[in-house]
Amino acid sequence: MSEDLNQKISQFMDNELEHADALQLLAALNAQPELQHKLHRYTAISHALKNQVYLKVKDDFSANIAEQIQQEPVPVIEQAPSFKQTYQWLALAASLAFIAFIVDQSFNAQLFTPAATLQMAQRWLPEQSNLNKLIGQYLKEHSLDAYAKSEVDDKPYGKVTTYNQK
Amino acid sequence: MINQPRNSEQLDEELVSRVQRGDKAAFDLLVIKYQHKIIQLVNRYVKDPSEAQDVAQEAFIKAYRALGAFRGEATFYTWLYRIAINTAKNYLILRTRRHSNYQLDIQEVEAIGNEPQLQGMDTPEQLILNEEIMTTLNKAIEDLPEEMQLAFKLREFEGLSYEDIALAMDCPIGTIRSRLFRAREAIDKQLTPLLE
Repeated sequence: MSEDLNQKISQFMDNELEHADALQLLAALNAQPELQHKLHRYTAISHALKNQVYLKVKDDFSANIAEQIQQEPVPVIEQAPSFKQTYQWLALAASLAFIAFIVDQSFNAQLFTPAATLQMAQRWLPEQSNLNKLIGQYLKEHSLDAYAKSEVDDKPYGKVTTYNQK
Repeated sequence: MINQPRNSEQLDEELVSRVQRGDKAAFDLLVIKYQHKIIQLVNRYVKDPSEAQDVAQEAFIKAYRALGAFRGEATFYTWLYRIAINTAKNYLILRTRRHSNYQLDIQEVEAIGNEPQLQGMDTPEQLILNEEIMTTLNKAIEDLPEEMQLAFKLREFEGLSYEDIALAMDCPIGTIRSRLFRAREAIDKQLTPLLE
């Protein structure tokens, strides 16, 4: 086993190996179990220093996984929704919104024809007129200006307040 | 906890992309890269190194099967880490159901993962061996030449990059690279008789 490869394992552990070199080293590790054992031992030393436990990995650990992977089908990539698909959904949403708008408009047009509005006004106008009179009268009686200028036959606010304090 | 430098992430992206294109050997490389980390992680829950390796294997197979759905929204290691933790938790729940009527709930499983590490030190023999390994390891570090020892400690305990160690020790990066490798070699040589 070359010293150069061992040094690369040390660098790889520390994430200090260039991309291309790392790929090359991984391929070498895959082909040479002795190199893998070296990586395991270096890693175990590092772990033991931090956790006070030396953990030994089984020699055939990765080989067992590789064997099982060979029996598995290639993972099928699940496609994220493409731009075209997203666009189709947007178009559908816009169409639905447009249809809803049209339906709403035609409903309002039926409800508020000039004839229907006039009929409604005639029904409500007399009562409305009485109500206006009542409101007008109330406002006149309770006008602040009228109190302040003593236009109403009553004491101005100031005097009422003074009276209450006494 | 999941802190992967950019170099490492780029490498993973390339390997994942190769697997997704049908290159199964690229997945073997991902296994080699992460097997130690994943076994350690699973062992925090399972607390038996032998069982932890079986559960870790299962986690890798699950990851392979799910790789078609991996879109790189998280890093590959973060994604694999989640799969490994879920596999370990499921394993613990199933193991408890098999061995007793006591039902382990998910909070208890979470708590197990956060307990201090005394991983798989079930037997007195294992405890003694571990103690012996740790004593040899510490002695091997103390025996290193001063400059090699300093570079090794700055890397392992302080997590400094090669560039930062080179600046701190006022020497070229190539020297640091070599010192770290030689330190590891020297420690490994002293540990080998204990591990055989």
